[in-house]
Amino acid sequence: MISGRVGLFFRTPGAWFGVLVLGLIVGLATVGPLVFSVDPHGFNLTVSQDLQAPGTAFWFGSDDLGRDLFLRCVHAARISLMVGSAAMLVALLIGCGIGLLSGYVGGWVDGILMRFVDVLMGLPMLMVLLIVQAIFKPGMESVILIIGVSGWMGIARLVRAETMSLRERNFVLVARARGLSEWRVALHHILPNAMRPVLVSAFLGIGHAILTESVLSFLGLGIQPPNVSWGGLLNNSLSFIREAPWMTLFPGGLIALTIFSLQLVGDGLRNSLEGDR
Amino acid sequence: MGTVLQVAGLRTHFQSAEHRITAVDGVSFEIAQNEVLGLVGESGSGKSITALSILKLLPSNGVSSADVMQFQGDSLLTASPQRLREIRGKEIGLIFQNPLAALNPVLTVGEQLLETLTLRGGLSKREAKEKAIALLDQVNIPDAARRLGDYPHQFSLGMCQRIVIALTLSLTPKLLIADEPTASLDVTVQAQVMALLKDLQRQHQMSMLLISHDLGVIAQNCDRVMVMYLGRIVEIGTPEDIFLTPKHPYTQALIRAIPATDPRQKQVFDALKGEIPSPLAIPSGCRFHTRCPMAEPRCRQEDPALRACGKAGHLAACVLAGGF
Repeated sequence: MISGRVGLFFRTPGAWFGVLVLGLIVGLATVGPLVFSVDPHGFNLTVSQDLQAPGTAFWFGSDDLGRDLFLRCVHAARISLMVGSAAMLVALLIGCGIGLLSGYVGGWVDGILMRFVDVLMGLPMLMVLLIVQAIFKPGMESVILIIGVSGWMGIARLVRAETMSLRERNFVLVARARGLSEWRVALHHILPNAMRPVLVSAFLGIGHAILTESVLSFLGLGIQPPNVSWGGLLNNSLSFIREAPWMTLFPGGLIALTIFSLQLVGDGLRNSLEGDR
Repeated sequence: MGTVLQVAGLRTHFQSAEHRITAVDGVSFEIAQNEVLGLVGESGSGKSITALSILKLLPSNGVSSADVMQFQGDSLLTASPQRLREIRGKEIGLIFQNPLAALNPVLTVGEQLLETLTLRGGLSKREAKEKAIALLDQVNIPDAARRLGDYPHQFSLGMCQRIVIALTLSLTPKLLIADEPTASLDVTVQAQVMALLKDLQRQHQMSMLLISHDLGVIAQNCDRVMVMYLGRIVEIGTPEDIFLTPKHPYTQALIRAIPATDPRQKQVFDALKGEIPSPLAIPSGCRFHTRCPMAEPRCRQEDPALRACGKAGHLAACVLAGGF
């Protein structure tokens, strides 16, 4: 039996499966586009290759323009994973900053910031995203920013709660008694201690960000052609759902599988990071 | 010997939604250079709050005021936050009970020492590393250079307290406030840590405010002793005054409660009646009259101030003091 944190991680049900699947998807997304050197977005003018069912020629079938759906999915994985992670990173930065400030300073600063968070959490975020995306020029950067900026509130609340309990701990008091500045204490003594649950939550948040991106792309407001994400593939598949269901099934399945794996790995992380507390 | 710290009329209270709890109520004392001043009392008597009030590190709902709070001629009452930060660590050091909780669990011991030495001590990274090793050597941590990379939980409790001492003394403060420095340690380790602390105090010519509920630790290490009860100082004197001729009934009761180590000696524990009253309902008159074996009717009304009894410098706050 493997001991320690790694052991705790792999004793979580499904963690193996999660790592395996996620590793495969991330691996393909990273290496795939280099290995399969065919341009996935190029049209295939051989009409006979349009809407081919999955088989030996096209593993995932082909789309309405005769493009290999497997290659398209691999390329889309790259974009979906990147947008999801980058958006989460943005959310993590904002959430940690606001949460730390709110929890450490307290008082009216905390009051204002947390009411602001309440208001944001009360908004129907999808509507807001759609409106904002419709106003700005859609593109990768704007999608990342918008998903990040709309998704930091949960992290902020978590960091704030952790900060408030850590603030009362002796080592924080003693660090201040050594004359370290409030900034130093907050960033170097409190934040690292607050990170464990936050990292788990952020990891799970990647899944949510991928899903949000898919929804935006599905509605045509996310990543713009010729680049495509899983959500974009779904959007594209809509008109052919009867003749070519594989065009829906494969990207949709990949989204579901990725989010499921992220959950499993996230649970494992939670057990390994927080199990000994 | 000059006075390092002078405190007069220190009052600290905590404000909650419904209650105002007075934890320290008019405490005055002085610490001379090189002097070790002991502060004893039961849990809840306001010892730690006194210490935190001096450094202005009270929890956010704590408010303190004082008539005088002078540190080496500087008033701590009017000091700017920047000046206070300068004083913390470099001028007044704080050692807290439970050493494991006093170290940051996610930073290595080396990181915590280096941080203090570079940011507060003004040393370069390399000098700081050498100094850190020297400091750990000084507090008898074996294999100091290698252990800089270890986390607090990898050390024993006694070692942790020695690391905390190294950390606090790395800035060579003039005054050290040691709040129950040995309370959570084994008896043998307690003796080692206390000896080390005393040794370093002498070496660096520091003054020390030693807070403890362990009368043995106090008796062995202090030049003067204060006894605290419910936020007030009830008796001050030399260890001889306090332990041989205690004047306040509370001090007398504390001393009677020390267990004898000789099993043949029959001892009747004459523990104090009842518990320390809640600071929400402080008794009228003398605060101790509810538990005092010698209380007279007038103790319920009269609130005695500290006054000289017997030898010079021996003060007690009891209407009966001097009467025996």
